[in-house]
Amino acid sequence: MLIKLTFISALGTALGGEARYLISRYPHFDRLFGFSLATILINIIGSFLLAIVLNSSLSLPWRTFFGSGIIGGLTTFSTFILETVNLSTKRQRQKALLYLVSSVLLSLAAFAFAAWLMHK
Amino acid sequence: MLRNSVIILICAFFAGALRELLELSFQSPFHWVTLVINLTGALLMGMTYEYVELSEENSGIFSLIVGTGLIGSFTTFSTFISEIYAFIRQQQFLLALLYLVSSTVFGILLLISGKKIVRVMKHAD
Repeated sequence: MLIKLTFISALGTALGGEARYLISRYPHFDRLFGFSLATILINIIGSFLLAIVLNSSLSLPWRTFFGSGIIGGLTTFSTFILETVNLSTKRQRQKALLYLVSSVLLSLAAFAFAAWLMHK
Repeated sequence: MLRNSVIILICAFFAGALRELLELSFQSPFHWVTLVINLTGALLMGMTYEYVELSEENSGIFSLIVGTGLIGSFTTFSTFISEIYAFIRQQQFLLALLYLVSSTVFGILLLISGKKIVRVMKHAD
């Protein structure tokens, strides 16, 4: 079961990672607010989707494929921290703090909203 | 373009496998596995970013393989959020705050450390 779930998650992560790569290449995200919106949008949408998967009646292999696989590979913590640090070193401390706080709060709100939708 | 997409597919596959293997092997009520995964990823991302910044030749392919493909896929934001939400639902507000603050603050510190380590190593060359 461990090997099976690991393989299923790896397949999903390949697809999620691919989606993240293609979305982050979309150039229009770059110039809107002086920093890339791709990662924050990906993380908010991914949090929304994960709450739907975790509150669904899907079986464990499918939850693993969609949840830790596709959505786990789509969202990224390391790039989120990298972008926060890069903003703060460009003497944009306030933007960095805004980026960090809004990433977490909007993602939490999206997660809670999706969980509420699933139990309505 | 197609080559880069295939590279990402392969790297994300292995990063996802490692993440899942760790998550399944070390399950615990305080989600320290995700914390360790994300903090390790932050340190490595800082090192990778600085290495690419300081390197003279074009290292776009290195950034793609290690940064976007391996580390980007290894760490996860959605699970981090779902675990904070779980703490809040269990009314463990202090744990939720502790988990949130330790992930982000240590993540930032480790990423900055990663950048510094690479800078020092480059200067020592």
